[in-house]
Amino acid sequence: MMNWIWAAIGIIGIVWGIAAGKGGAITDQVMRAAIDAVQLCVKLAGGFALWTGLIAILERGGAMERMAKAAKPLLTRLFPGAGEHAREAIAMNLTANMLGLGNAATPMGLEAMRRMADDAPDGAATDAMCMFLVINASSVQLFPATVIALRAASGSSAPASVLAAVLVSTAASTVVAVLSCIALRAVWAGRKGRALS
Amino acid sequence: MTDLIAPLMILFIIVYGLFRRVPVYDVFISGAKKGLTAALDVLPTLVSMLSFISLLVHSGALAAFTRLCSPVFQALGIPEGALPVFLVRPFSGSAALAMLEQTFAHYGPDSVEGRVASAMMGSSETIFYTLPLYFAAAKVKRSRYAVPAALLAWFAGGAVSAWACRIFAG
Repeated sequence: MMNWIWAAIGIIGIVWGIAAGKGGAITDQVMRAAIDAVQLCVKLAGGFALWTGLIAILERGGAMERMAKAAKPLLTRLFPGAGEHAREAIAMNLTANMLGLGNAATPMGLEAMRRMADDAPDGAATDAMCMFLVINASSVQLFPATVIALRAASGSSAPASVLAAVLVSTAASTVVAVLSCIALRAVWAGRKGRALS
Repeated sequence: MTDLIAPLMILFIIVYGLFRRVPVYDVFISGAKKGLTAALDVLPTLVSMLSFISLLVHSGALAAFTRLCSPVFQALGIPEGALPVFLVRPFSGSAALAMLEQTFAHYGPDSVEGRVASAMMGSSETIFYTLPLYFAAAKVKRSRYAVPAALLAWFAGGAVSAWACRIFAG
């Protein structure tokens, strides 16, 4: 699916840009974006290194194990097939995401994916991976610090007044994320069955 | 309050490590090494997605798509002024933030448009960044139903944002 999406994004952007007479502009921008991506990666690398280093301390101390154990009933139900090791990283990632620590959440999320990859030798996403990613993409952050800061900077009389609405919509998107994973899991399983028969 | 979460967490980790007799410095170094490898692993994905998405933004295709979709979303109760943020959100976090700022400048942060756009910004992550990034780390080639499920969640978050802002506006 990513192959098609990526190709479609590129083709639509290029054809549209040329048709709109922006050939020069999009050439500049695509190069700039590629360079920016490398700079972003360097920045990410710093944050990743800091947080994976700190989290390694937690892991060595046994805190991750304890945390994953506490959240085990929920995690095993949400991520069937994810091993104990993977569940530790999942628990850390979701906690960091809820607290809004994106810099800490991403390296833990990537670590969780690598740990789950042992169960996916054929290069296809497992059900646990899909659930984990879709929950991550739906946002589980409890306090939208960036949005509220921007509201304050734009002269809002009550920057935090959207908090209730954000929490309700975040919760709704996360619930729909879980439900659509469960529903589509059945659809995809049916597909595979047909393909094999 | 939120400014204190990260420093307190770091403080807690160090104290916890010392308390549990972890060789904190040595363990930090070996952990940090893994973080650097992770960043290098995802670099090709970052370049591929961010460069192509910039084509979509700077060619004007995304803006045209927003205009095209606006009647449909207005029928769902999503105000037209909040649409740029909603439609850009799955593709680019920084572009969505720029759209949010424009929405605030045009309608005001306390308007219906400004409030709905705020809730939309907070209710989803950048799907076409997060998914490729995480799948690249696991070396997964076939994403199966991850993309449609994430888009369903994004859509639900947007619809509920518009609804919740009307309820909580009083």
